[in-house]
Amino acid sequence: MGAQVSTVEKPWTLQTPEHVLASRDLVGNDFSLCYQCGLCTGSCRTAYAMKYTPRQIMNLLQLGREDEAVASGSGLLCTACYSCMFRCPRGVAVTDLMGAIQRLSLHQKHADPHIQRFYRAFMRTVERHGRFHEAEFLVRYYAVNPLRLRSEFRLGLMLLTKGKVVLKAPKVKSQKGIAAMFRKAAEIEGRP
Amino acid sequence: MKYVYYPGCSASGTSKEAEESLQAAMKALGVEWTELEDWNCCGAAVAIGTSYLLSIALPARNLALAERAESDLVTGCSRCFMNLIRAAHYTRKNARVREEVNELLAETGVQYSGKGRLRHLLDVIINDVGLDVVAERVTRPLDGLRVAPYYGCCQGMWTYAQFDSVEDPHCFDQLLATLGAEVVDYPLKTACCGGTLSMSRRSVGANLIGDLLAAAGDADCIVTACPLCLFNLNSFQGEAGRIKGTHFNIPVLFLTQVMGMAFGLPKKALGLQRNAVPVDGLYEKIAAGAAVSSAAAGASRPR
Amino acid sequence: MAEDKSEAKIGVYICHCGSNIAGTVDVEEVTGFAQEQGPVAVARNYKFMCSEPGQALIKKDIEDLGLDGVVVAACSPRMHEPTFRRVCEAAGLNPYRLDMCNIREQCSWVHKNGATEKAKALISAAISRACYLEPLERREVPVAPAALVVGGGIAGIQAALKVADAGRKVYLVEREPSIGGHMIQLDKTFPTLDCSACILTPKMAAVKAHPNIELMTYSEVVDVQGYVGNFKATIRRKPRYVDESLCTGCGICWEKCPWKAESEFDCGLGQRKAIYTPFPQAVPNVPVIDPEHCVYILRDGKCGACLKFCERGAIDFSQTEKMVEVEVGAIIVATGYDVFDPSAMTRYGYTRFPNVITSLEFERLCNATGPTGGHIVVNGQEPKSVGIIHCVGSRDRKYHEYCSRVCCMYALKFAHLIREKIEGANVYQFYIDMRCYGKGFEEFYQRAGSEGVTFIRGRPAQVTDLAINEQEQGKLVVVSENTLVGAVMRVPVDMVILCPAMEPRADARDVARLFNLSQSADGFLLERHAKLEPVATANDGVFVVGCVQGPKDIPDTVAQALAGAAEALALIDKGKVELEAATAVVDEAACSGCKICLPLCPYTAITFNEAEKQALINEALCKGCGVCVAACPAAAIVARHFTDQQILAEVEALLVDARPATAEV
Repeated sequence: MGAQVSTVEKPWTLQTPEHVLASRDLVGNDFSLCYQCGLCTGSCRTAYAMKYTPRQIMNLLQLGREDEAVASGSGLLCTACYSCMFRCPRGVAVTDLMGAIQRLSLHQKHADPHIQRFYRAFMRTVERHGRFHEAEFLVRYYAVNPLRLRSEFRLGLMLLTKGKVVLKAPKVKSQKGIAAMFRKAAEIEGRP
Repeated sequence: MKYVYYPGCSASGTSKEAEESLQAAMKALGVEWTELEDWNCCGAAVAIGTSYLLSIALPARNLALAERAESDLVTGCSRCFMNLIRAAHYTRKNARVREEVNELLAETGVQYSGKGRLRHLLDVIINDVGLDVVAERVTRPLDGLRVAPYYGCCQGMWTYAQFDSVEDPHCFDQLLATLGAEVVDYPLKTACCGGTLSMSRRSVGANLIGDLLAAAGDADCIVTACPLCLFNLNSFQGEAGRIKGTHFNIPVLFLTQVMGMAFGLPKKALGLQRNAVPVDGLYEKIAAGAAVSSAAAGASRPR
Repeated sequence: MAEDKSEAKIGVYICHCGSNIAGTVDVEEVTGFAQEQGPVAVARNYKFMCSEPGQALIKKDIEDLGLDGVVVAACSPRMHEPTFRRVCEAAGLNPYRLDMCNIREQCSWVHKNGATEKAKALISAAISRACYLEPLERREVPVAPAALVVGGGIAGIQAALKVADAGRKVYLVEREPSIGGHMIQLDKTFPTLDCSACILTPKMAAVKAHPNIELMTYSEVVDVQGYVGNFKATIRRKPRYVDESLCTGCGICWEKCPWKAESEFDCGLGQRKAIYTPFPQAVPNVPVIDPEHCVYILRDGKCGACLKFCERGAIDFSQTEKMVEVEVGAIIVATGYDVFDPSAMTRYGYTRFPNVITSLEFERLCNATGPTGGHIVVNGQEPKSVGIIHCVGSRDRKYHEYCSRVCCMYALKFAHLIREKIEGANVYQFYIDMRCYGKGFEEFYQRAGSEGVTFIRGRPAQVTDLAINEQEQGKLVVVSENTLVGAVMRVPVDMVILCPAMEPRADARDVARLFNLSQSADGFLLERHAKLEPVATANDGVFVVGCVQGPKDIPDTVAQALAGAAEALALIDKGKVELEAATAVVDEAACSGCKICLPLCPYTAITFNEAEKQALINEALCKGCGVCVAACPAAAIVARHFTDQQILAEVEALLVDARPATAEV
């Protein structure tokens, strides 16, 4: 009866995955091997809370629509336990690809702000001290919304009373060099 | 065996008891090591989300330092172990990665060539020291103590693949049995605890922790092989209970704490006062268990 | 023939092969170049040299111009060398005066630039070689009019019956005490739901009754010597300790035997006696005594119940192993498959949970002759819900990458059988793809759906007994993503059936070595050509049929068995085999008897004549691969049709424009 025009408001277009294959951040182009069996998702402990399951994210990559995966924020729930990648019958590097989605997600405006801040705060203390500095991390993480600390009262009290809070900054001899590593990495990876 | 020890960042803070007990227990086993000088953070589960190169270069720097010290690198933190071995694997496999990582490492005056061996604590205890030596050190067998061995997740394809099975490892079970404990069947022994999600996405993290606590059933305690799992399972039992509609109060210990208990080491040395869920009750159970077995032994002795 | 190149009269024929060659190579230019070469009497090009008009061109030139050598520059000799050799023969020219030059696979198909120049170089080399080619004669050897069939499953049975029906003698050797293979273990078969035993036992009976078939069960082939048409096989006949000529199969011996063992036939789910036939319809219906469980054998004469009760005195503990030698013209290997052991996949809980079973075990449960008399019972109870997991150990690069082909269909069959035997049972199929490609298969799939089977698309991550709610208490839970919905599901069931891959037998490598065959990457035995020669192998006269060659269902197995029979009969009926002449020959004068060549031959074609202290090459086994030629330190072996002179002539022609490298390079 002639061509049908889509009545869907926002048509879901496919993009060829070439830009994904070329992307430096999406390490490993073996997602093309994925035959969508779902074993990764069945093994994933946090899949239940994801908008797009790991398998769906592999499919989005195959269709060149990693932007959808990134926008969903699902990648941020990956704990890098590697269960999926170990079991994948086609040898797809699922965890590493989820890591790549995480890297793309964290720079998005709409990313989960807590997780975003967590990662940034953590890495900043490592950059400045060579090792994780807990006290500084807490300040950075909670500074934006100190009221959140209220819900952490019990946890904080437990850590304090059991002598597990370290206020002192770690001292690493090569701290300056390590900070330079961070700068170099940003340079090579073309990040700001 | 010449070892160099990599403590990892959890060791000094939120999982201090893991570090304290580790040093005490390994000393009791006669293992000597020096701390890796000038070590840096391995990147935890965070570096991979921010920079691919840093996720490999940060651990690789420690490998490079160990290479220079010409020693096997041992670590008791599973996440650190995984990051280190993953860095070693990708650096060896991919020339471009190796080149760029070494470009970063040059900023701190080291280079990594891919040599050097990485050892997990359990591997060293079981395969280098040997369970017979462990058995000799036991002065207070953990009779009557029902333990759930929690291997944790990073122990999978990067870790346990090196010296045990990935899907169904048994090394930890064997160690606990050698200490005299009754090891229960723990179906979630290699399931992830959620890592940093306990802090950054509490609802999901606590749910995972709740699953793990519930799966321990009627075990007296859960013993972990990872300091981060130790922190997670200890610190969020209240929240996990709320999500699961129940009440959790199960002691969670680190593997070297339990070893130290069986070796008769003092509680303070093992940092037992730091575990969020009190562990004193376990000593009572062990004493009761010992009484039962000595009574049984006494009964069978001819008069 | 022509020692002096200038006297040769070579015809050069360049094929366009449509645009395959002509699209990249300038065939006119090349033809002109060829015409200019000294020994060339005529050079032509044509669109399809292999076609009848193309062949006619060559034939006419040979006859009219008296050509004494032909060069065809076209596709690979593997394609059309036989075609052009026949043309030469028909025109009265010895076929070994043909040199085929590959300017397609090795030239036009792999180069965009420079193909024309390369074609010229290749043709020039071929012309050079052609001048030195010797005419060769093909020898004929007779074919023994008998066939050996190894393996008595449906494939072996069918092949044996067909060859025997054609009036030829067949030796059928089977390792187990009875023929029947895996097929006799099955309950019903898809897609017709025929009872497996009902369709197989008539064939088994026919084998027993056939005057042309000599059936040797409880026997194994241990050695094979010889070559196509003339094989000598040594068969080890294991002692049954029961005299086949006296036994009537009455069954009193196994009834009275007090000693039990796990039944291999029932996959360990049931038991048998130390003296036993594996199943009631066994052919031959003569029991064997298992020396590992028979107390008379183990404890030197204690017991003896069977001896006492056998009215015919057929029990004979004095029997020993016998070696039998047979001479046959063709061998058909039909040794079948093994089932993948899913214990390695700990996440599915096989052997940990008694109600996780494999498909073969389920067949035994369903089967009326099985350990439960055909009742589907697990832990003493009928399951009300069953989960069937596809692709266990297949489509998985950690175990087997291939698809096992039959599982989707038998999983549907199981669903039907379960719902037939257990009213209201729920059956869940966990699949990745539904592969229902054969005749009647898609219809069967539709039928299963209409009978109320639930399909969940997803590969399960685990089977666990850890219940998280009321519904799951006391059950097994299959955890799998439902990929069509996009959520992880937990499905509580009473029983889980795993569909494990069909895999090559554990001793496939030994079988391959025994019959001089190759294995493909997946471990199954390798056929000669994936499309056109599915049952022939690299070893002439030996054919592989059935699942030994790859996973397949019963109709395909029967078709292959018949193909194997046809191949064997074609050999036997012709009565003689023409041997390829391009083989290696030992120059007796030059051979020093060092024996270096003997172990190198991949076809075991070289033997040593102790008396003469000479190596001897069997022309029938030799494939002309050249390994011995290269290895011989005395250069005493000549590769006919590839002599040093011929090869060096080619090389010289190729290098005629080469310049020595300068110092700067």
